[in-house]
Amino acid sequence: MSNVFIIRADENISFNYVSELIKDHKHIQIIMKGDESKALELLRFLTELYPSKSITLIIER
Amino acid sequence: MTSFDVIITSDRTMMSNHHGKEFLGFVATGPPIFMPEWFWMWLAAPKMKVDKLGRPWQAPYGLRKIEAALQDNGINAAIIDPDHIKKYLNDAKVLAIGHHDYFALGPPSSEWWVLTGKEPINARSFRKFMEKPEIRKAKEHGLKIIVGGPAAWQWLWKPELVKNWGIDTIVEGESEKIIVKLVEKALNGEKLPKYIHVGVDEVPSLEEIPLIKHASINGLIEIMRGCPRGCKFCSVTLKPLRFYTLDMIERELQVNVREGVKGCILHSDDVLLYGADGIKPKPEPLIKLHELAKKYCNSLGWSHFSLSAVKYAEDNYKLITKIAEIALNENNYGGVEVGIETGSPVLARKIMPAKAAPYKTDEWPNIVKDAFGILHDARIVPAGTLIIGMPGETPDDIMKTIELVDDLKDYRSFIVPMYFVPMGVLKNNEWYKARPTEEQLELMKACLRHDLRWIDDLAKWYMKDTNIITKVMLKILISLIRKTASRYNLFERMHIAEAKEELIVKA
Repeated sequence: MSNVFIIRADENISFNYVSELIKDHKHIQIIMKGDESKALELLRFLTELYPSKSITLIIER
Repeated sequence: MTSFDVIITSDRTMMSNHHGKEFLGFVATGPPIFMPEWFWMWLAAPKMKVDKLGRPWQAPYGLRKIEAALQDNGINAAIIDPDHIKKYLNDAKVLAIGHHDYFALGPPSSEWWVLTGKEPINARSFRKFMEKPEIRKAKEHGLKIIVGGPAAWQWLWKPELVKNWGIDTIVEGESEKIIVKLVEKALNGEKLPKYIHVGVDEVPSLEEIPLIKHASINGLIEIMRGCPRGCKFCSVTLKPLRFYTLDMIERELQVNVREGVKGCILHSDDVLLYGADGIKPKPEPLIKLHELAKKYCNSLGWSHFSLSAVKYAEDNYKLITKIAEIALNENNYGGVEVGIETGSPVLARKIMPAKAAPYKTDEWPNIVKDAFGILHDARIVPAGTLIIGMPGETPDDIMKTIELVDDLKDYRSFIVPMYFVPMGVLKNNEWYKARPTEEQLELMKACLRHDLRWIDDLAKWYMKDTNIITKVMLKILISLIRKTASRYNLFERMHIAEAKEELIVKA
């Protein structure tokens, strides 16, 4: 699927859970609350796992 | 007074033409040892000539593409030399920065850091750039900072610097399309995403790739994007294949010539696959490409060849000989980067199953030797890279690579081991204290022996049209490396081998 898939999350979210959620989507937007460094860690995980997907991260304060 | 809404720039190690010698730019990946830091900066990254507005004569090709994309969309943007950004930062709304290796986490910087325990020059230079008071001041007044380029991934390992330096957005991947929307958002005062990863569906099509408007460093121009070989350690392979048309290439050549750049470097991850039939080079497009480039450039070089393509092109069409005849002036050498990666067919099958194609992966060491021989005869000097530390690598794989390096000793070349620091290790702030294994160190020594064998011949060629100071300084540096190598018995293995050879000859 190539639609934009939006996830709202906070810093307690499981990385594996997110990777499962996005696995069938090509364009993902993650809106995340909380710690910025946790969000960047999540991105390291996701971009290594899915290097071809388009991922946008928005931090919400 | 002239002002720009968007300033595009980088630190000095990027904004330099390295005395017109692309390879000298790699010196910035090393730490300042033997000589003071200012000397290394001068050698690797002398200041770039600028116009009265502080715009550099030559700038990194990737930044030129961003500049062109923004200007084509009516945005008031310009590349400004890092020493001249101060006068524009009061009015600018966006500072866009690109880099090949922001924090020296990529090879070969990471390797020199591990071996010496000292932070390389490129990372030092970038930190000094980011800590300029004028950037901090502009940031306080609302300047948005967008970072990108091939090393954008490194920011994900530096969350504290993302915060401290106020990085607004990190863009990873081909960004010519996305940058326009992003900058428009910034100019309109809209909220920016923290991070954008450009997926394969969002890369620009050939028609959407803008052409540079001003000169690129050492006349480097792109001829295609993507690579079909699918090696596991390379992100380029994920990109769709796109060949620039000869018309696009000619227009970029004209830009460089018009602005006084005399040389040209044809860039792609495998230049020999320009217009190819899959992974088999084709004579017609390659010859036309080289004839076109030579029409505009005194000296012509290449960024990368794949070794299997070298062998195929020569064995089937004598094509390496032909393009060398077109490209190289009489009694001159040309240079190109090639990926040897490993001498072990077992490891090659795991990490680069299509690198040897159309030949079999089991034949990889022989392909490398044949290709080095072909390049030697054609007066093309390969700078061969090796990958050390890939997951799954065994001591036996390393020993096979050492044997291959020894087999290449008679071919005029430079061999550079690339020590890969596993990503997981980067979580630790003292990652550079990781130690290579005995076998890995032995391989590094084998490469040093090879390089020192050829360095005088290559330095004479490479530096022949540089100024006398650069020549002398490089000579001193080579002599220091040679002395250090002797002091630490780095030649030991070679001495034994040479002694054996001598005995055999005498017998």
